[in-house]
Amino acid sequence: MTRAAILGYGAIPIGNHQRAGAEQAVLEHELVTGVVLDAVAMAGLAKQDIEGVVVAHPGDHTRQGYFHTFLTAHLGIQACATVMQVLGNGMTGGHAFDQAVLQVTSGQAQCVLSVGVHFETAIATAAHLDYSIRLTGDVDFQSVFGAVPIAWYAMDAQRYLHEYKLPRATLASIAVKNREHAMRNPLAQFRKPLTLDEVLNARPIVEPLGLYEVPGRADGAVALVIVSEALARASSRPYVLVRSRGFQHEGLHQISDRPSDSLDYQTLRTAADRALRGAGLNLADIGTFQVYAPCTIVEALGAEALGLMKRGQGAAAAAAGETRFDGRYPVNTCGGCLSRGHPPEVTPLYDVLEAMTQLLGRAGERQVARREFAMTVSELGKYNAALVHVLQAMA
Amino acid sequence: MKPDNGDTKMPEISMAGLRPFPPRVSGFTATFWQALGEGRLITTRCGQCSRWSFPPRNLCRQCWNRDVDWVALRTTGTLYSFTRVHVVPGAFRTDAPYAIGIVDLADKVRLMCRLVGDVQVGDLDQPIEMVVLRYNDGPLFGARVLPSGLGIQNARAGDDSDCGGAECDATAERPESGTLSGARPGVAETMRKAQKL
Repeated sequence: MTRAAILGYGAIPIGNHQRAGAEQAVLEHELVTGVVLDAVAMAGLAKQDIEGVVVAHPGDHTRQGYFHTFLTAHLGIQACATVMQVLGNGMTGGHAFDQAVLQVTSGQAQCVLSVGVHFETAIATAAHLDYSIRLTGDVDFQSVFGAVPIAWYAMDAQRYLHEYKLPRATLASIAVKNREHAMRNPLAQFRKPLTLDEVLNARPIVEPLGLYEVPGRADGAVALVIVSEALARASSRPYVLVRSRGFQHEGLHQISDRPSDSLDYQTLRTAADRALRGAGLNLADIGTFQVYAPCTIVEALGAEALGLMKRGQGAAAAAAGETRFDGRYPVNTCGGCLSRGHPPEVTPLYDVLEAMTQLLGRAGERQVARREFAMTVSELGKYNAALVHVLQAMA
Repeated sequence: MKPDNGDTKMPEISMAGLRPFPPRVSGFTATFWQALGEGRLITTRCGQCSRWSFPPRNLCRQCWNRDVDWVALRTTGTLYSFTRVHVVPGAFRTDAPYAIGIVDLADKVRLMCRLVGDVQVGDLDQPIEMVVLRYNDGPLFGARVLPSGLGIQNARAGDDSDCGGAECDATAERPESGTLSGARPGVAETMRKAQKL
């Protein structure tokens, strides 16, 4: 089978780009133009080389509909393999990457653009939540109670603190760790220093989580150039090889209807095992992990599900520095959803970009020491599904 | 305390105004909402493998059997977790902040609902009872933490909560009197039987 590689990337810093109330609008395709050109230039390729375009579905808050074909027209690309828009909740960007890779590994295309833009900051939070309660719950039996997406994670956090008899500060330290990473990442949304006291004293959002333990609202745009290994090698440029993928959906939407352990993200363990088996690697071979984690608790439970530490020790390990970029198991070296920023539909594409940055040794002050293999994780629901990729540096 | 056989009516709590984000009612789920309006919490159970479902479904998730029965749930259980939501959707603006929680009912059914009354961190694993939230435009279900010492015997979902399949489903122990009716004979007959309980 043909193997796929990542040869180029481009992104704007995550933040407030949509600009509510601004005199002049920011248009989604205008914002994407630069990141696509950057990614293609980094790959040393040209417009004519692109055979497919896979777009992360831009959600509800961009004006232009059918953005995949609109963008393809804007860029003047004539594609012989595919042009499509993919959707998978928090996994949307993960699918955009995965489907581009599958186009290449299936032999359909030599070069595919994987791209996404997410806008939401011009939409008031209350209106955004009116929309998003319909996404993460049964609209007739759960959303009716006002279960906002992060409420589900908050209930995991409450349960976690209860079961392991932990102080909130242990969990909250993950926000401080991620801020330290984001301070070293020019693409990050929040780069000012953040103390544990500030995290603990912030106003509550979904108890027990406060302002700094949940994602801020954000816009973003990012593009990746996915090519065949042959094309990557011929480019004589450093690249990242996509070694394997793993996926699992547990057949649940948010929670089970029977008592079970909601702190066990077993889909992640299953998907990661599949990916590691596919690559012929062990967990210990992976030098850095990008784990989709909109809240502190999700990073702790994700790290535990991967097997980086024992159950109940994910938060304490972060507090002890083990998941810092210079720790034993670097997790979310970009600053994660909490500080790098979380434009949900494209967050997983930013995570692939960070993994590649690390593998190419271009992460500057947050560079990890072991940069042969990286793992990226995206999810949907409450880890009702997980999508995992193992990447390898080919510098 | 008198055992809860699933046919007791839930306490009612008056809620101001309309439901913030009202549920749709289908020909199928009308049975549930009608019963809830009458103070009973019911759901579906597979006629073949006896697996309970919540919300009620027109097929068994386990074995894809479409012959499901409407059964009454015992309305006590324990609080698995909760959160208090401070940043809320526009539709819930006047409710903020509000508590929602995951509860495990005595019949080993887990659901999520609004919590009413005082709820604190120390209430996890403590007994709860289900209640009907009576809005002007219809009912929702909710739960409240029971005062300590009340209802513990009946509220516990059981210590063997690692139960993972139909073969260890405690619902098999439920008396058949819990069955309201087959779902297939039609809503009218279902409701007629339901009202006999």
